[in-house]
Amino acid sequence: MEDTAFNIEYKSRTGSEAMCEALLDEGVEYLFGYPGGAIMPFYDALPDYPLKHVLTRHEQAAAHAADGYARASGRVGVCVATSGPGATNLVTGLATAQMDSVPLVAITGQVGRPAMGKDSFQETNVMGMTLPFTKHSFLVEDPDELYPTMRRAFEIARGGRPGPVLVDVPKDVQFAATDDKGYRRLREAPPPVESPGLERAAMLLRNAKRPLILAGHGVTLGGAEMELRLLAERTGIPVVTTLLGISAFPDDHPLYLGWPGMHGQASVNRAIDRSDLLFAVGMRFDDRITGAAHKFAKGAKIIHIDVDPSELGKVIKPTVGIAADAKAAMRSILGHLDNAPDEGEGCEHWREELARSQEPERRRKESARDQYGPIQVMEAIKAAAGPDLRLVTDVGQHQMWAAQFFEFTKTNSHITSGGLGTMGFALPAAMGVAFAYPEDPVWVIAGDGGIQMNIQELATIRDFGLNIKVAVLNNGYLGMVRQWQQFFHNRRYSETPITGPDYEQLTASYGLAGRTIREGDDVEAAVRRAQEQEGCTILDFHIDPEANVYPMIPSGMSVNEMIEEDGA
Amino acid sequence: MNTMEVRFTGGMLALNRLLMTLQNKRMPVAGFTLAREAAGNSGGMRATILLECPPEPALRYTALISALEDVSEVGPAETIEVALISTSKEWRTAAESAGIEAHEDDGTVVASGAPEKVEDFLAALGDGVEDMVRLGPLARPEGEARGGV
Repeated sequence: MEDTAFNIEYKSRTGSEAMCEALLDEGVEYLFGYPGGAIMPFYDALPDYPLKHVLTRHEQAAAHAADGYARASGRVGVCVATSGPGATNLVTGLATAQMDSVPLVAITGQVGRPAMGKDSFQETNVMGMTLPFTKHSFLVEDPDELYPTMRRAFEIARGGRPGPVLVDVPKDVQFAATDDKGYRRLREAPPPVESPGLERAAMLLRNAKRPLILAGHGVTLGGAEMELRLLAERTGIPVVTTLLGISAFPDDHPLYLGWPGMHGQASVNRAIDRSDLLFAVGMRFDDRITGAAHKFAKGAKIIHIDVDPSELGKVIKPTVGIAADAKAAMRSILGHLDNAPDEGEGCEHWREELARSQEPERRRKESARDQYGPIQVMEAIKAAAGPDLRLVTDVGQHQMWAAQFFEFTKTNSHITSGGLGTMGFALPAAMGVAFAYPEDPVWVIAGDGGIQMNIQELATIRDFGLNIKVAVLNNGYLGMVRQWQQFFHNRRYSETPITGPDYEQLTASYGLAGRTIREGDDVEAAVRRAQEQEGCTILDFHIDPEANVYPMIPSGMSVNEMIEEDGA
Repeated sequence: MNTMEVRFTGGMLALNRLLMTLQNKRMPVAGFTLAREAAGNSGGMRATILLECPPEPALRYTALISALEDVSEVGPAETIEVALISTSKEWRTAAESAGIEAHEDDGTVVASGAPEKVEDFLAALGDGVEDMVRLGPLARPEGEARGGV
């Protein structure tokens, strides 16, 4: 049977066994989940299979952990929950994954088929609820369809533009005997890359005087980091990245400039404004990048490559739009570049101009290194953890500081919730990262607001002995909201002051280590000690309550309305 | 106005997903008509969607719809509208001059044709229309969805 993936004799199996076998056949190693009534048959079958289950303390954390695992490993993350509240608790995690194109399969138990539609105990229409932010969803009512549906869910999650897929399985379907005989492989064809646009793109790259490459998450998702580097080095074109594109190109590469957007470097925003060609690959012109879209890169021709054709022209109308996988497209463009002589003058003057424009930012960063605050904390973490560090950030001011001041030299070493901006993401996502790369140092940087949203996961971290280090940048505020209130609401700090636990006592109660650090303490020594200590440590850095993230382009405005630090 | 015909399977869940996508992506939907596929086509459905936007975004929306797993085919379509009319007024002359097909079935006038021609026909009948059910616009059944993404 040529069209079947497996050619073995199947014994009769239950729906739950079929689910577990599908997971095994997909090469799944870890599941992140939380059991409950409607998913009990699945959990009953689970111990009979070599699948490792991570019991989180909340279903939202299970989804984020699966997300972190998927982002770090490049494989499909799997999370499991029961019906009703279990399923609704997954929702934020699914939306987070959808916005950042992360491949995830979420398995939910559902009440039995006879009980469906009758407002039964713990019944909820999770399919209907998650329609807007799943790539696809299945309600499997036929036990024979369970195995192929599970396999199909993985295909969909990782195919094309990746995303989360929900598989909702009624309890009696998990119990039922199945009679399916195999699996018809349904591989998706790779996106086409034979496009006249590719040759045109190569021509535009050759002739541009002030070009920039703008690389997004699609480069990492498509494993196209090498092609990005080859293209940049072949053309000498400077590279900027989106927030999620950070670490797709090494920060210490001479062609790397930084990242643009609302809190991106001023020099990078100005570079985009002055560019004559923007080669945008694996990105979607998020409003945090463009600000006022009609004023974005006004003088530039735009080459836009994305695996999702519906992204082309959604926000910015491209000069050349190419619907293709980033890796294949850049390979093809490199081929076109090699087949024709370079006639243009190159962009050496442009590179020199950009290097000069970055000098003030470099000087500011240098001078801030000696002052107690976020930059000093980041420098200390980088020094203690070394080049293999994987950094997971939460959402808020610290996220921007980390993106601005950290130097990411390792591929795919920066993990954050970009599109949805989900506070509470970092701690559980870091668990997924730690399971994917147990040998690599994993640090979380979070604010004192976000860390409390999934703080219960310290128990999971302790149970599995995960070696995750946490730096809380504690300013006693929901810092980013407070900053907006300062700038746009006359310093009316409505409900942004926030308190938290004593992290030393909290970590002690979980059997973990914690330490409070204030101005005047030795930051470097504290971070080094945390790094050397086995197991999870939380460092609670008390920082300036009114420290701000600069620069800032107010929402919906352009680079010309950028707010810069005093004296910048 | 751009017309798109979407063929899909998966029943109510798939229809729900399609509607949610239209709403979620803020597509400028000016009309939406649902019909069943012919028997033997595995219970599929056809939705004819009128988009009030220039052709370029319509193409992007078509690409977006085509990415839905339940959708088997999507593309631009020529449309037809059907009107079931109760009238005591003489309707044959109006139908002829509007250039539509019309016949009477058990007291109900069944009129069909291009939407703008049906509109002309109804305008000619004016107050003579006592009751009416309008079906469509629907993609013409003989036409395959063309130029799909």
